[in-house]
Amino acid sequence: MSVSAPTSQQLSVVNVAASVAGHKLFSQISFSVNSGVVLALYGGNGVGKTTLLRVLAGLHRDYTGNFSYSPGVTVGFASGSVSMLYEDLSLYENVELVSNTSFTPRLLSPALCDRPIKHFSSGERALAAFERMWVMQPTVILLDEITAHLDQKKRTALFEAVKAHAKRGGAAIFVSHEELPAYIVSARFVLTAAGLSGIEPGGSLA
Amino acid sequence: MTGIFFCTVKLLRKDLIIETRRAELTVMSLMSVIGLSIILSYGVWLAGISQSQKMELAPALSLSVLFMAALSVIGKFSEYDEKSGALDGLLVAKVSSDALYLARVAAIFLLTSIAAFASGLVLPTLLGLVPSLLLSWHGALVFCGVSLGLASVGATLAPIAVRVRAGSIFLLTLMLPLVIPLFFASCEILSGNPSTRDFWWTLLAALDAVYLAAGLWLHPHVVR
Repeated sequence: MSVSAPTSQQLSVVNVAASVAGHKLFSQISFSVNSGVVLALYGGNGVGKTTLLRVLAGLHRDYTGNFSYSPGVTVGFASGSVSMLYEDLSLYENVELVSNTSFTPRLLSPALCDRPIKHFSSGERALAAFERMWVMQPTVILLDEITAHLDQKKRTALFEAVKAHAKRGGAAIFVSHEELPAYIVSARFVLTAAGLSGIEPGGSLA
Repeated sequence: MTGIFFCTVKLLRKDLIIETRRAELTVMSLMSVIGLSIILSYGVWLAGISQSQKMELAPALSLSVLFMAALSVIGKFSEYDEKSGALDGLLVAKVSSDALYLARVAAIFLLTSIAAFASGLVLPTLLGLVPSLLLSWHGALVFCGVSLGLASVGATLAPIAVRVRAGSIFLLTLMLPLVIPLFFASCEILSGNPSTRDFWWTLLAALDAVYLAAGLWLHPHVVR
């Protein structure tokens, strides 16, 4: 799929197919992502949505095909189910491990950021993962079920942050089980074992 | 280079903060040292070994206790990393793999050094001996050399072991062939023939260097 946006390409995926423990999840898929684009990726349980994001984040090596980011593009990955943070450290301490810049939380209260992650609720963990990813200022952000445990207010704030990111020339891929609001999504597609389908205006299959 | 150094220091600090808050691994290693020392000293007492024989045996027994205590906790660092995908979080953030490895070696080294100090103190005391290993420079140096070797091997292999079934047994199986030469070399230095001591010192230092270099080379492949 290539997204019809009049801006530069940031990610190109060519014939990628992934497996987990020898079990093939999806057939070869190809798409590209331009700057300013927010993609929504839907699909049933176990089809490989999360695995696809982990492949693109460089965390899952059991795949065939190729993908590449344009020079200078950096990648961020945040998940709503696995925080990827040290549970006994606070968010400030977790951020300190990956960044030397000062950190001001956007979606969480500063007081909360001083508490160990293990005391966070599921929604707060998802936001903490997002905050930690955000501080790295990635160009392409990969979000896996990030809104699953969020209340409406936090969800809207997160959508606004992603929308602003896309407007600044970044790009995002959302994996979700719920319908994402039309105002932030440029293209929607469904992942099945057979590949990608269901593209709406804003994108087309390659 | 400076970047890797500061990153290593930050990651080591992280491990120490977590250990300070959890106090899990230090307590586990000290309990292992005390438990094994009690069992071994009881066995020595049952065998009716003379005081001079005890003095000859003490270094090897202390090192055995250290090895067993260290092996019981080395994998725990990586288990904790796997929990919540914290290591993945660092990898996505492009944290240097060399820094990750060196920080982990340093953390295991510190933990193993505490176990080494405890084993050098507790076992001789239970055997009714003066803990002389801790008072001699070459005793302390051998414990440091052994701790470094254990840390280098452990930091390399533990990330593999946490991803397989029966990981702790798997880790032990992988580590044993590599740490047994360390054990022999250190035993020979502490209680072997003084004329061959230089050879064993060289072997211990060479093993440490090889394990550390191999770990630095393998770690990026292992963690992914």
